[in-house]
Amino acid sequence: MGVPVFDIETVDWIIPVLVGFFDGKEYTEFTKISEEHDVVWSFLEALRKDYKGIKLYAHNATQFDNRIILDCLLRHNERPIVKANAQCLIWDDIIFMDSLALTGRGLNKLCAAFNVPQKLEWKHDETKNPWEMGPRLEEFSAYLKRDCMSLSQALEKFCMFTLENWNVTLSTNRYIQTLALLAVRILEKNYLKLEDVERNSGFNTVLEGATYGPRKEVYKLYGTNIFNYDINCSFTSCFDAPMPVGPLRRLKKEEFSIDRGTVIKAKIKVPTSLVIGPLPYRLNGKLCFPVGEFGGDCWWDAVELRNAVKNHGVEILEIITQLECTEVPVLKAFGNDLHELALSTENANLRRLVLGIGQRLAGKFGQKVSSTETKHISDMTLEDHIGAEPIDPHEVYFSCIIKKAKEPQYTRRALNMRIKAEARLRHTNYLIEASKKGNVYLCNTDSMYTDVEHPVSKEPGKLKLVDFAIRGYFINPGVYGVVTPQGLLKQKTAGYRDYQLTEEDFKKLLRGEELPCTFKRLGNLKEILAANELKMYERHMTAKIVADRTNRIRVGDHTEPIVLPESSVPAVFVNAFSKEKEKLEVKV
Amino acid sequence: MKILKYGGKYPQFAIILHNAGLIDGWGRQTDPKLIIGEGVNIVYYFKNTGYEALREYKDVILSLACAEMRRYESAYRAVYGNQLFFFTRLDVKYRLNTLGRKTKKDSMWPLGAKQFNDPEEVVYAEDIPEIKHKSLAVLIDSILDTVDEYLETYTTGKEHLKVTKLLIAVRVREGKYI
Repeated sequence: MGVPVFDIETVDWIIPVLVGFFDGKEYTEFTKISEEHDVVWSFLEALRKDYKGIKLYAHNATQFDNRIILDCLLRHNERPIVKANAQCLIWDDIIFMDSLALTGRGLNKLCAAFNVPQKLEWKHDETKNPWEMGPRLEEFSAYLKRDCMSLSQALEKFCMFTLENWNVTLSTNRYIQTLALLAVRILEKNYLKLEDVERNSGFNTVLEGATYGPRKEVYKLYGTNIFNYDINCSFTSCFDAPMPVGPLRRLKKEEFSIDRGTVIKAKIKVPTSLVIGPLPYRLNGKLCFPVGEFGGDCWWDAVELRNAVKNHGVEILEIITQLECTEVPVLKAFGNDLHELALSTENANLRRLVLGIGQRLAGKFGQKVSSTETKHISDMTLEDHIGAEPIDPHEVYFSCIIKKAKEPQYTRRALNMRIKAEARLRHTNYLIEASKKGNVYLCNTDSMYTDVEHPVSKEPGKLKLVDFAIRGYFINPGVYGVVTPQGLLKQKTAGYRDYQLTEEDFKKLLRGEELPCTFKRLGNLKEILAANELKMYERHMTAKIVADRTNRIRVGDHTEPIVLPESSVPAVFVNAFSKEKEKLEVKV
Repeated sequence: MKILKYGGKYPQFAIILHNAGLIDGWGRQTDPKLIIGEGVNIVYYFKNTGYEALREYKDVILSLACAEMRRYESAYRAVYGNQLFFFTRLDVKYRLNTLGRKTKKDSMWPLGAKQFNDPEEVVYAEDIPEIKHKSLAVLIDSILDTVDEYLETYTTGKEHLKVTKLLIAVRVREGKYI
């Protein structure tokens, strides 16, 4: 028996016209037959009649299908229970789940990973009401059916894959199924009982303070002959490092040493000659990598600090506090198995899926104690009501801050801190090495754009060449474009979905011009609940070189690290960010 | 929950706002007709209330919200105990975003929303970061500060702010485990 799935096809993203449903044995299609006909409601009524207790999957349901279902239910005065930001909808003992959250891959890639027939081609702007489509309706139905069947088969194979390799089924949790949860269950079942790893809850502030995000910086705004490298299996390659697993204890002053300890609070001096700061620091809440004298108020993972001292000339002025615990490479076996499995397959999509499992693990270790949840009133205690915010006009749904009485089951902040620190320091080492030999243009988490050629390898933790470009325009870490030797512009424009920029647009951005963009998006969960209907909302964005969003100081066509303390620089960080009016002088 | 009629005795803070010509009539009390639970909505519609009026009468608006909640609290706390909740929402039309830039359209910024048992917590509390709560007083201050920051760079900006409506909500919520 296959995995039950459904899929909804719409006109203009909001008017449902076809619903495909595969119950595991048979495929059924629901078709809109007139302007007044609510095809989703017909589907839901059929489910209520014959399929109570069923759990159905749709791909990307959080962002689309579940929103349509929710809108339909609200219009029929039904009040479903919404979980995890609509990742899961529960109505009348029927559960609508999102398979994207579970697999972390798009449907095409998921199908390719498991050699399942791929999606068919269909241009969504050609979708009309079924009675207006004539002979094309058959093609459209075939497209929908293939979507459903492919998803069902891919999920089944994914399930078999995890069962065969790790003896783990997708999830035992009835409502929340994510790749991160799957990763942690694989770990627990096969490699490490998390109860053996100390939570160190008493040091939450310290561990949170020493956990920083990945490095995303622009160093030069324009360049030619650029290599784009990625670190192979960046996160999972760090699983071989010793992990802090024991109870943390404070060291006495006479025991303070850079050669020991797990987390360190210190005052440091980073040479101002470095163009890339080796250590993370939060300045006014923003993550940056400054140079100069700073610290004293923040914590670092000892491995990152040690690396900075030994390899990059950082000087420790004073160690203020130092904590230490037992460190054992407890994730090494898991990491090795993941790499072995990933490298044993020629299927690039399956390889990424396997590595994705490892990547999600670190995030799960850092899960927060409190979270915002949309709750149905019938699901709320009086305590939940305190500080809750009613969303819809009927006050049935509330945005609640759920402060869990105890930490989430899998939270291990020290492991999260160490994995992130290891990944960042390995990335930093590559960047600093490249900056000594030539130019580095941009880095983002585990990638770098540089004009220095590096040796490449398939080994985890080593560099792989992703691309070569003859020209590159780097506006900010989320907006950049490179031109391939074939003259093709490849753009990375976070937030600009389906918004194709030209090389001329990038030149304009470099000259300091703005690039406004307007697009329509489906209303989010809160908007649907508040308006009690599904609408498209206009979103506005403006791409430009924004000083206050960067973590370095822009000087002409390149950037320089922030120098601390602030008083030592004429234009202090805050002013540099908010009031910099210097125009770019870039010769393009 | 029955609506407590004013009977000609309006809150003194409402009278101040009325005399200053900032509100369009007295508070309109209605039944929100909730599907689950019950409550009362008290709505004051504002007129001629821009940046300067909001700065001058901020405390009066806050006191009015608090006084209306207290009126219901004194009548119903004994009946409903900790099932009695309050929240408030000040609707402000506002054409500057948090970075001080002008937005293209008028955006409605509802200030305040989270519900609490204690009116003081709704209106005057300091920030409670754990539950991301900002009281109405904090929210009004932050919106006025944003305009001030904007005015440091630009000569105009005050006209971008307009208060339209104050909602004071009284609710009886039932907990799942009662």
